Amino acid sequence: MRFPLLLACCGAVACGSAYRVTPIRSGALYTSKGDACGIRFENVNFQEGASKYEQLGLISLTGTSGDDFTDVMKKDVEKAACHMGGDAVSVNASAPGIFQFLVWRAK
Amino acid sequence: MTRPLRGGLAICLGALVGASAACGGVARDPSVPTYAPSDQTSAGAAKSASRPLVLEWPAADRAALEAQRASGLVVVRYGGSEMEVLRGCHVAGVYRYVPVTPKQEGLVVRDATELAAAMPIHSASLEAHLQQKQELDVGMTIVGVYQTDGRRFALADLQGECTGATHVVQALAVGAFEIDASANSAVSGGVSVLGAGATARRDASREVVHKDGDRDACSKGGTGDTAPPYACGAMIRVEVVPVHFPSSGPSGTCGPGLVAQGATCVAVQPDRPGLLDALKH
Repeated sequence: MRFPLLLACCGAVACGSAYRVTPIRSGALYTSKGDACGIRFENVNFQEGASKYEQLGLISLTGTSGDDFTDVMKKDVEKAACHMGGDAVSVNASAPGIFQFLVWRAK
Repeated sequence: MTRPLRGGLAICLGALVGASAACGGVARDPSVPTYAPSDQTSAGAAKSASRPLVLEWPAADRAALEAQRASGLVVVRYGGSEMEVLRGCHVAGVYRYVPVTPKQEGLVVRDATELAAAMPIHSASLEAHLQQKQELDVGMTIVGVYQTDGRRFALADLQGECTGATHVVQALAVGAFEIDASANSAVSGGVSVLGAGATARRDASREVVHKDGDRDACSKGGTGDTAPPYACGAMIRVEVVPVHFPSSGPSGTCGPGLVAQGATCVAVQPDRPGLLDALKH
């Protein structure tokens, strides 16, 4: 009885910093570029991005702890964006516990 | 028995409240509170991005700017709170010196946000002084401006090694300046309330952080000057304009780091940090 309880507690602590990565595709679909493809992180707004890129979708990180965007999160965003066939990402929205990126592909 | 006791207590309490109100000591500053959240930039930040102060540029960069200015128009790479003079890149043209009636300009910087707004580039050393002393007072005297003919610059105008070029320096204000660091009067209790003693303490804590040029020398300038008076030629502020790049690709889009402006492309606003830097604070 005690052991499962302990396991559940440890699991809760261990998974406390876990977050969920959700890719949302929209528009045309492209072939995956693999796990790493040199995604550019661009500080542009939607209008600026849309003027030179085609939007492929969104990547949401939910359940993040703290305000910091970690290297692990960067790798996860890069991987998901590469799988969509993207070239660049920009921030669509961020709030406590949430980062959401737009995925772009050069026109 | 209990009623008079209650009444007495009420009187005592009333007297205490009254006394504390009357003898509250320091009168409150009636100034209107300002809404200035630390995580938001002020309007001044946006205004000064294309006209940054260059008071704290490293000597090597100031020398490069000075040398480039003397030989032609200055091309820079400006973005993400950094400005680099591209020594091997040139644009045909010259700066003309226009003397102005000496202008005194003062600036009080109390936090990192105000500092970044006024000096978006090369302000790390001032930030350390700001943390130690809590307030920076910047006094500037401007006597003239080196300026171009105000034309627009395109990629085709750039000559030499111009990789990374984003802007051309359109104007350069010169004169004299002094930056002092001192204890913040607002934090130390209010000079107006504490009087001369506090003022003296504040003056004692004042430290000259950086000084270039002599304010008195600036008064020797005249309307016919072709150069600033001796000892009054310190570079104070640069004004940059973006280089216009042609759009590229079959659908005429802007390359990385560029955004559309009309039919051409220009660098993203120079006060925008890189996305990863912004996300990681």
